Amino acid sequence: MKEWLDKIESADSTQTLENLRVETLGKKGVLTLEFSKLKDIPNNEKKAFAQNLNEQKSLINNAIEKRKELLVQLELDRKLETEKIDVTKFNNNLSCGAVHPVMDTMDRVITYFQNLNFSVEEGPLVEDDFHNFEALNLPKYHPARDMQDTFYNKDYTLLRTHTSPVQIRTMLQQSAPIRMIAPGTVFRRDFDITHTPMFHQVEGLVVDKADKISFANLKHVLEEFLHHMFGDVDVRFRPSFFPFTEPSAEVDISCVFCKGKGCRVCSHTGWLEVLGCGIVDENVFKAVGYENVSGYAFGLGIERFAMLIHNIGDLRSLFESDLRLLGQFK
Amino acid sequence: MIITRTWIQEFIDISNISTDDICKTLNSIGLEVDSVNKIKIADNVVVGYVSKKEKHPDADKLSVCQVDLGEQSVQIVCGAKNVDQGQYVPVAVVGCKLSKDFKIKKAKLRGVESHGMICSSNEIGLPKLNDGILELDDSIGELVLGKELNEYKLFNDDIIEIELTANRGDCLSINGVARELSTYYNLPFNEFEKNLNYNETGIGQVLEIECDSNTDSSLIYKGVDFTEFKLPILQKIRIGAIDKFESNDIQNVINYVTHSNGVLFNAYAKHETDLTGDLLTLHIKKDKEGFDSVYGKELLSTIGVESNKINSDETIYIIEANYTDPDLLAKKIFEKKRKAGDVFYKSSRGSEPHIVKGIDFFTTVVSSFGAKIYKGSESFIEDKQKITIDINTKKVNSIIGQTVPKAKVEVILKSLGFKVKDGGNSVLSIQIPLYRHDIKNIADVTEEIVRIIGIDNIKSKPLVIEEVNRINSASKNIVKKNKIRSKAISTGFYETLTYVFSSRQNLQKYGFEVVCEDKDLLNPITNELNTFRSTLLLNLVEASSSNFKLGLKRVALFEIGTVFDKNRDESKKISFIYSGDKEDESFENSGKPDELTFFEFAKKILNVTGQFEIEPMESITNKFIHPYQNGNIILDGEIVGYISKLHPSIASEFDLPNSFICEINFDKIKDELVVTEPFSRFQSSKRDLSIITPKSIAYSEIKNIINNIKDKNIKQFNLVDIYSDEKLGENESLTIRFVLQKDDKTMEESDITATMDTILETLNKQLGIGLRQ
Repeated sequence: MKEWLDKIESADSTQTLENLRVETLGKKGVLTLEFSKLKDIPNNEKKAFAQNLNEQKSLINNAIEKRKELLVQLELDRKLETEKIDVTKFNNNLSCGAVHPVMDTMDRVITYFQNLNFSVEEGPLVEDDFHNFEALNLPKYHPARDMQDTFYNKDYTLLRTHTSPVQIRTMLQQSAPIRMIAPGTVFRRDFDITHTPMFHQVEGLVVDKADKISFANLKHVLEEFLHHMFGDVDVRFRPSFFPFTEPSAEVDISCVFCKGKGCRVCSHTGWLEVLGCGIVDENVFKAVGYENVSGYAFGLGIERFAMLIHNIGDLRSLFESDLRLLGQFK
Repeated sequence: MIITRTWIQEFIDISNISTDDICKTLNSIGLEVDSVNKIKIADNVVVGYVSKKEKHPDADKLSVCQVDLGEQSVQIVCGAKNVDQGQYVPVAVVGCKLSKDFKIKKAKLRGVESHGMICSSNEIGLPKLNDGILELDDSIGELVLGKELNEYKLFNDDIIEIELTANRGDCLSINGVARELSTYYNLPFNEFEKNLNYNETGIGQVLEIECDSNTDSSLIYKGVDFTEFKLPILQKIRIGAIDKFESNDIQNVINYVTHSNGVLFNAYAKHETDLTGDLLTLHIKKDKEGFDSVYGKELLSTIGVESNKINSDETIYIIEANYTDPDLLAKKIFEKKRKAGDVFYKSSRGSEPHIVKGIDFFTTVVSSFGAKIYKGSESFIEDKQKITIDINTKKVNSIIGQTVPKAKVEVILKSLGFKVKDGGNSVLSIQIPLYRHDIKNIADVTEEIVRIIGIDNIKSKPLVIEEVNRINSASKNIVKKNKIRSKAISTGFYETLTYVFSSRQNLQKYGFEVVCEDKDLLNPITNELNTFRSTLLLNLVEASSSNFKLGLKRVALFEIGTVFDKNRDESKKISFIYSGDKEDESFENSGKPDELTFFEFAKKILNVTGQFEIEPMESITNKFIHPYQNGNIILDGEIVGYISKLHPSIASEFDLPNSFICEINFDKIKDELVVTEPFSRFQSSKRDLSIITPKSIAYSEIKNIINNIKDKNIKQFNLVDIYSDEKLGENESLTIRFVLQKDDKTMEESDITATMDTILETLNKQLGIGLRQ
């Protein structure tokens, strides 16, 4: 008996084990043969004999089951082992594409203002003098037109030099209160290291009852916005001049690269100009036929934001579809 | 606009205020500081006196100078033409470090010893004036031999460049900027004292001005004899600092005075005038276009538009101070489309209107430099009424969003040169100085208050708003665009952004539409960008090409952007390009990935834009399209774009491997809410059908026929195998796999057979095709 149990214990495959089962418990197995002797056993011993045999049978059965369980596990392990791979061979280069940094920055700006209950308005790229200049208090002879080198078309239309004409279009279509941003493509006839003939702006306009909108409100919305975009920076407002706002201001943030200490990017001033804004000029409201209203407006260049946020040095590279740059935005 | 510390100092005492502080102030009051350049002359550059100058024995162009440095005298070989005996000069002595890698050493020049260098202005870090050495004079202080130049305070100047906004013509002078600073710092303003060096003759004896009565400008004329005039080095350096230095010192002093006080001047040389005997005559009348012009023998200047150029050695001049209303001038220039000279920059932004004070300042300055002034003057001054406006300080406060007391408003305005009268209650009646022609209404006045109190001192306040649903078509479009963009990106396409400009020639060359000639760009920036794009694909092909030139093996790009049709009407397109390998090189493909196929490309596009059909194009519209691998993109039966393999000859022209392109009308892509249909919970069955069909029959025909059977048990079918061989000849075998399912019970074999038989019969009847034998 011991001999069989040892054999079972040392069986090295489920096949050997099966053979052992047949040899012991099979039709012609040793134990089965022992059982067949039962009929020759005297009655008074029969019970004990049978009991003994049953015990032995159950011992062997248990031993086989136990061994089988082990062997099945071992064999599964062996099989699994053949499936072994070196997971470090994984190539972790992303094969997806990437969003363009300018568009991504635009999205962030839009989302921010949408969350503040601003609507999004759009307008055409080809504009006329009225919407792009006249209505914005930029009469034809105004020296400020020098600031905006304009692309003209042969039919006296022009390519919008800013997103501000969307303000005019919106005010002509809707009545106050207005609370809008106008994201979009704009054009200036300028092409060098710091200028591309096409770029992107987001314009903001809020108009409400007379005396309701103040410079303090404008300051609040822009400070919060700049902190959202650039994190913990100082924000500085400088009085400036735009024909369509009065009072006007330019907004600087402390340099995101040198933290205000002065570096090449901020021309050693510690400040970066990022926005223009102001209280809407009465003449603009006059041009769209609004009376007894007050409002503020602001405008920003998306490329500038994208360059500062993502540390991109060359403006022109944003329009070159170079995957060495775009590939970094996966 | 450039100011310097010492120049400002002549108007207000800023000796206790640091340059950094001044810059901060300028920024905060709306005069943006562009740059600051602090000049400091190196140590060991000292005052020297050329006591003797001899020709170098072996070199024509060199002089040997004995230079007295006070305690010692040294010999210096100098190459400058203008060096001369009796000059005071800056000398860099041996050991002086003029720049990081320029140290003065004892040297031998053509065999003659030289102990130091006589310097030009820019060699010691000052603005470049002439080609030779700098001659010193006592305008910088008493010249003490051997004294370090950097001990002369006037040399250690800080040059501040301000970027002025177009409305601030009043700050186009040192005087104007000093006025602003005096307001901010509450500093007294130094008025100059008129002090003239008169000539014996009165002006009436030498000068006659004939002025028409209809001139718009205000003018004053005075005669000046410049015979003894010598412009000191200090003024020259300042003119150099503002980048206005010219060879003629009369021109230089005009530039100097204009920059100092903002008044515009012209100088007319004696011989240019309409000279009769000793009488110098000028005629002032309107030119053909109505601009005030000054004529002598011929046209000399147009006031505010073109200045008279000084280009002779003449010493007797008529000096004119002039002022024209900037708005009037700017309007007229625009209307007449007149080209204006440099002076227009100042005149159109508003030069200093106080020309009496201006000419007094000019004559005082030139008197002090040796010129003689003829007594008397001729003036034609239009009495311009100063504008008075009433402002309500409550309104001012509501624009600012915080209370600035009326008294404070009054103080600020007064210090800026406004005359202020209390109008009772919250009203102030203010008279605007002429030099602030930009101030017209309460908003302009508020800006003055805001500037001076400082925006930083305005407390931010959130605006309380009424909530409004602001979802509109634009915001819905953004949502749709962002969904599509994110799908394109996860499908492997990079988003690009390219110019909406294109080359007309290239668009035409490749058969794309162009904007009609009479609506095209008038002033394009380059020839490559001389028109509007009618497709995004040209840009994408170029972008892909430039990436391949960098050695990439796979480029997938997309752009959503505006294109223009021949009427220049704008629309949005989404376009794709895929060039090269279908996946990265890796061990899984043994480093040799296959190229992408048309169907793989189409599937990618499908995954981005959603369901569409492809039908062969009936006519090929441009040269990018491959004649045999192309299709219209059909959405709801409408052509919304096209997809194609890039024509191989175009690919090779752009050095591209196999590439695929697609352009779709963006607005036609749907973004609708899903409405679900009930779906069957019973088991489905699959059946394959292999049919023999002529290659000339498009699969779409077969598809349409099966769809038209409208058996709702056919849940789905697609092509799983295409087989052709010689035996099949012009035919091919298509295996279509059907998924069949009933909505109300499990499909039985008899149902399946019935459906499959119907399909087969219909195909047979309509196309004459049948089972593979």
